[in-house]
Order: sequence, then C-alpha cells, then structure tokens
Amino acid sequence: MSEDTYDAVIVGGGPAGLTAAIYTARHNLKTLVLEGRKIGGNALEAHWVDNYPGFPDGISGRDLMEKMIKQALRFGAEIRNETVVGLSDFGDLKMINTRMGFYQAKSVVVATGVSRKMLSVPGENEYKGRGVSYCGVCDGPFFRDKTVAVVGGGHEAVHDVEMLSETAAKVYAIPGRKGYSENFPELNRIREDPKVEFITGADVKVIGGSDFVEYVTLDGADRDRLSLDGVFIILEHVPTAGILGEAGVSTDAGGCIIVDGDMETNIKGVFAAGDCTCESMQIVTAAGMGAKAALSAMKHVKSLG
Amino acid sequence: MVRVELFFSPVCPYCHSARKLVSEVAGRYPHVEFVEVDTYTEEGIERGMSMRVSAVPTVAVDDEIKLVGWPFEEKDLVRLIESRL
Repeated sequence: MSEDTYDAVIVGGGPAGLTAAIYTARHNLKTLVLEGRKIGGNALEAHWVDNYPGFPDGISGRDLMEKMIKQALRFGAEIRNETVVGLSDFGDLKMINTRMGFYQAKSVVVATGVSRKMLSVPGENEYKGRGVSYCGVCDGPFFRDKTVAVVGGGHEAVHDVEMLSETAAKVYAIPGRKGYSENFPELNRIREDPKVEFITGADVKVIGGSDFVEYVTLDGADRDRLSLDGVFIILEHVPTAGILGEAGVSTDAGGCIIVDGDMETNIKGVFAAGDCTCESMQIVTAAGMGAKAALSAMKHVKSLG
Repeated sequence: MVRVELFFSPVCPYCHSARKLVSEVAGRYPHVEFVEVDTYTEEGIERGMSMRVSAVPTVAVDDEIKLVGWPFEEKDLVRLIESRL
C-alpha cells in the first residue's frame, strides 16, 4: 500500500471530525483530517458556548475548537487544509480526492457539517457584504451603534440577537412566521433588553437600500417597513454532503446522511457523524457522534487485518 | 506601490482560505504592499468602519473595496493588482 494510505481519513474539521481524530489517533490509527475551510468548522462562529460539559463558566466556540485541534494533534493526527472533492469506494480501500491530490484510507469518517440556508428574498444577493451578513460573530463588530435585524428562529439566531445587542444601537429579532423553534433560555434575558425589539408573526419580504442596506419590508407585521443598517440572516442549516455522490452514500430527501446505530453509512467502512447526519445541531452531540464513529472505524480497520 | 488590504476575522470560517490566497498572490509582486487587518482588534474595526467594510473577508486595493466574501478567484485578484501596476 502507498505511504499515503491512512487507517482513517476524516473529512471535516469541526467538533465531530476532530473528536473522531482524537479517538482514532489516540488508538494509534494513522489519521488524517481534511478540512477545506477553517479548521474548527461552524463551531468557531459560536460566540459563547454555555452548555459544553467541563466548562462551568462557558467557553467561546473559538477557544473550544482550538483545544480540540490541540488535542487531536497531540495524539498524532495530521490536519490538512484541503478541500475534498470526491470519495470513491474500492472495497477495503477508499479513495479521497482533494483539490491537491488524493489519499487512500481503510476507513472514512464524513463530518462535513452543514451550510446555512439562504432567505431567498429580493435584495439578499445584491446587498451581500453591503449590509447582509450570515455570520454575527464575524461581521457584528462593523455594526457598532447601528440598527440591525437578525432573521431566524433557531438557537444561533437567538445567540446572535444577544451578542449583537451588546454593541448595536438596536436589534430587531425576526424569527419568521413559525416563531422560535424552542423556548430557548436566552429569550427570557433578551426580552428584558431594551435594545431588542421582537417582530413576530412576520416574514422579511424585501431587503432594500442604495449603496448599502437601508430597510427591509415585512409581510404579516403591524409595520410594513423597518429602517436599518444591517440584516443578519441566521437560518437553519442544510447538510453539505455533496462529495458523497460518487461513492453512493445514501442520504435522505433533505440531503442528510443516513447512518446506522454504529454511525456507518450504507457503504462498509464509511461512517458519518455530526451535523451532516442532521441528528442535532449541538457541539456536544456532534462530538459524541464523532467518538462513536471513530470507535466503529477502529473496529472496521481491525477487521481488515 | 499598490496597497492590498485584507480584512479578516479569526472567527470567520472562510477567512483562512482568503488569507492564504491573497498572501500568496500579493507575494508574487514586489511592488505590492500586503496588509492584513484583523477586525477583532479595535484598530482593525476602526479601519474597517472608516472604509465602510461590513463583512469579512474583504479585499481593498488602494483604499477601495474590491472583493467581498468568499470564495473569490485568483484571476480576479491578479487582474485587480495588475490593473494598478
């Protein structure tokens, strides 16, 4: 076998992928993590993580992911910043193609996470980067003392309302007609915040302005229009499992990778973990699934002899 | 001298790739001054706000915003730089 044959190649460097790497590398499996974007994944955007066990005072997503990276490296996992573009199944060996070359692996853990859904309203594309943002923690600082809206009814949207209200002059929280998906604990705090105004039972219809965003129009609210400087679109995520087509990995109608109780896909030796399975959108559960997938991958590699 | 500024944030998942590409391309040109602006610092955010930057990554050439968001193509960056040389 070539020198580039790994016991485990992990596609994705978020909480699931890095946890899988910690487990496989710690058990002396030759482990490679491939991540095309920033190592750490979407969890890096988490302003503050209050519910990850072991951090009683909470921890920023960035610090948590840096610790996971350090831990994976300590056990000898290799981490490379390469985008995976294809995965092929050759029985006992899998081939992983990246933009820079290819690797062979006895087992693969897919932990590609998710990408954010767009709002798909007029003005969204036009004002992208000119007031329309998809990342509160990345772009929030540019809206200090300004008026913004956070569109979305999930936990991340709630987080971003709370975070942006620390620096913005005013924050409109617009969960959409369906409202918030749960009664998140942060909502009680936010409701006391005089800088936050909830716009409920309404959807954003149009994002408009001149050079930069200046307003949104609403459908279903008391008011037709809100004047503002920025719109943070923080909607639910969709799985990013597009690379799996060639290998024939089964996904459901929503694109979520289907796994069994051992986190194995329909392809022997290919496992999946984390948000790309749509099981949950929590860092701790992603990490748990990563560990479980790694244990199954170890068992699989051992069975190959 | 052409000044290429890249506004980035350490928490932005796309900025790493942008930093890698812009530094590589800028490094090929001796008459290009490449500056990275960390918008997680007070100085960085002030510089960004003064130029009306509102998202990361953003590339500005000679104080003009030219590329916003990721991905952008290497050829776009090359064209921007060469048009100023």
